[in-house]
Amino acid sequence: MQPITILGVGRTDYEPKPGVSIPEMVHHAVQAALADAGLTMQDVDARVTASADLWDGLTASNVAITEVVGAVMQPEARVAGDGLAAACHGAMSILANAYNVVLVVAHCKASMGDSGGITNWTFDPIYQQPLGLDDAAAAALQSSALHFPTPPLPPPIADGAAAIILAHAPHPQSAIRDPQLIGMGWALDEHYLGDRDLTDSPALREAARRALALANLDDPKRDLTFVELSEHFDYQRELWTFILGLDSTHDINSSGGLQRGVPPFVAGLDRLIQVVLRLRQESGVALAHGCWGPCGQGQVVMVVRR
Amino acid sequence: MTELLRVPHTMTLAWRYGTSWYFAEFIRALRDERRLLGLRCPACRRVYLPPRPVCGNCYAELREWVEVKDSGTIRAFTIVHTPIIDPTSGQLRPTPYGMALIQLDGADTTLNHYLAENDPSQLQIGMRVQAVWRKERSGMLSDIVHFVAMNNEQ
Amino acid sequence: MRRVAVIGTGQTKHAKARDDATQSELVRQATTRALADAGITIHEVDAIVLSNMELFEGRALPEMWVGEGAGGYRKPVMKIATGGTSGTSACIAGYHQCASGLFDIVLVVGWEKHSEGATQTGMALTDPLWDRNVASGAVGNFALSISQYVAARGVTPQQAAKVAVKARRNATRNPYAHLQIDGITVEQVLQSRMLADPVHLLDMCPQSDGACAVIYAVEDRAKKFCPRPSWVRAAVTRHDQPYIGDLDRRLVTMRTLRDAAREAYQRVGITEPLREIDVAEIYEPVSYAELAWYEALGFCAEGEAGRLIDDGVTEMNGELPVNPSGGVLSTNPVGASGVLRVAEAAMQVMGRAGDHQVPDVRLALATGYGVYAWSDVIILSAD
Repeated sequence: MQPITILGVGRTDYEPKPGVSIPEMVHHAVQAALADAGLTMQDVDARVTASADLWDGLTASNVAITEVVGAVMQPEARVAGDGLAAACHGAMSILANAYNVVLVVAHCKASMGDSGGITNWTFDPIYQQPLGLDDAAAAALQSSALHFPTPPLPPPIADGAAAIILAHAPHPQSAIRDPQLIGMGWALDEHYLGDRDLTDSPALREAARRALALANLDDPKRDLTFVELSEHFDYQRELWTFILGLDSTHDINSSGGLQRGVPPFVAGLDRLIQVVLRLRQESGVALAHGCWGPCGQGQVVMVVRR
Repeated sequence: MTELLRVPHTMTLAWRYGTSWYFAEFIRALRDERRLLGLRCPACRRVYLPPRPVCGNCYAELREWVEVKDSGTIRAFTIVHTPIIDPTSGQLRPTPYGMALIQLDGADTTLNHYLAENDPSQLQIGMRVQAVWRKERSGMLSDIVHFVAMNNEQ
Repeated sequence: MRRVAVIGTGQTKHAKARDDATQSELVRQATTRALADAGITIHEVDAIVLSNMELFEGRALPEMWVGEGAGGYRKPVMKIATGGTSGTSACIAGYHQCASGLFDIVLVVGWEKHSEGATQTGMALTDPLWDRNVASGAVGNFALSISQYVAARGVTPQQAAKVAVKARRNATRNPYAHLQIDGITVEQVLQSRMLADPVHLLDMCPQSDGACAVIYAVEDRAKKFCPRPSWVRAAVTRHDQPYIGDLDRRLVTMRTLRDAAREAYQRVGITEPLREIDVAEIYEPVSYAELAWYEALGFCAEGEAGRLIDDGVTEMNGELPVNPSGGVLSTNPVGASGVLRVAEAAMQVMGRAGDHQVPDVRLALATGYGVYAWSDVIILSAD
């Protein structure tokens, strides 16, 4: 694929923000990304946003952020899923020559709702939902299937927003510092937990296979300088590492990963931001990973180089 | 064929929505002082109700508060005959009832609210109306019961 | 941009309640029919884009469950949700993904199963600090905007009722449509229950259960699989401010649709839409909106929409048939409604619209409408 330049990144702090509105959170992240890229909103051709209605307690949850993402009389698409998947879609629309500069924004205010109550509604309503499954219960099943020694530990609850700006490469504004997106892939796993081998993730294998193939990398062990993974529970770091064909000797989650508290749906986009920030300091090839849904049913991988 | 079934679920979720500075100030003025506040765009000068951080037309940050009156002009109206759940009571709101888009004096946007009048022949676009307030206020739009026609042009 | 065409479409029977099929099964039916229409198998599909408004069924990430129905396991699956425009936005997203060079064949599926949830409650989850405190609902909000449109343009209830009659009469020739009202008359519409002045029950769209799928292919695949592909010529999105009170007489101005159409026409080189476009499938949630969209789409001058319907210009045998399928007024599974517009427009270009086929369609228009005034415009052509 033709490389896509990541012109700018921005985010809020991640912490419970009880009095703060979603539009304001998103506004801060967008302003930070524009400033980082040295652009104004007028330079942006289109936006891809990522959010989840049930977490926001809003129907069509991107309505609330229309103005702060600059979407009035402009194109916007909203991906209901992790922000890294939204970044993939933004990159696709650039590759299609539909747009030159795309703003990608993800947000979640995890502290305003009830994760157990919400994620129970992800499970099919007839077979699994009545069992009372939620993301935490599914994680407990997965960690026990992996013989993980301790109960699964989720990161602290946090609120926040993250934004990146993608552009055709080479781009006039593109400085030598800007890393390039050279591979991406995403995939969906089976839904019924009983259908899945919870010690594996064919969806992650597939997402990584696609991303690495586009990046012309055949040996992740050799080719990846460092990796940022989305471990929504502590045990997942080891699982995703193994599935990607890596091991504990690799440079994984040097940013601290999700365990310092990163909101869901923002998580994958934040992995990409961490990758970009580090690649501005040192050249190399890095992988950003995101996942969403029960036991990481949805998986997304991006490969970035500078 | 086996009889088809429906599996019931009832959703009970609670959310805690943050106000940020702009809705916090709007709610405080409404609740404590019975004043309605809008935000003026520094670029296009449009006065926005409800308050918000950014004018979407100009992508300019909003900071300047403007007091808006509780009287205004009907810009659109209808009489609703379909029962709809009233969010303030959780019950179906008795029909028919009047609704309007009201441009409050001092605002450039319109407010979607109830009318006391429910006879369409008594309503027209351009009519002047005045808010009727509840005794107890919570800082929400429902602190206004509805709008009534103004007898004299003020 | 790489050339991309629709090579197959499929939809379910739409109905008030499809108790015979789960959400996943509805999606599977639409997908299977689209694959058969395109003459391919799911193995040839490289990526999938889904569309659904999850709060209407009270689901969280329903694609996790329903992705199975689209054949999505281990494939790239993404869900697009933007309110009423979800379906057209998913179609635009699928088009972009197909044009990106990364995928050769992309499947788009939209669905809604309103009977499984509380749509009114879902729709009421608007800004909790503002419009959630005042009960108006979708019908009331339309009625407000219609009062402005009527005042500005002088359209009559009879003219609106003619739109409602046209839609339901067209739907009788579409075997998949939800509302098929044989012999419906203008009087019947005007005598139906008043929902919110001046909107009668039969002026309004229903809530339907159903799904619709569209399959895109890049040029060489499209030519291989389809004798007469429906090429995507333009796809434009415009969103607008978040509150109804922000918009200046939204049905009168409808600046998003006006601007999206202007850009789309410019890309295709359309200067006289009424004459050049052969058929339109537009997203009209209420009869009056169709009249307003005629003006915004440049089918007529401002204030001429009533004359257009009076003169039968948009009837099946008119100069520009609008919504031969029966439109949203006849069938409205929200997440699928936009996909249906694109699918029906593509079917017309491909010559596969059966009893509601318009003869010799070369240029077709599809639109999406959502939130208070968001618009998508898509133009398809035979070359």
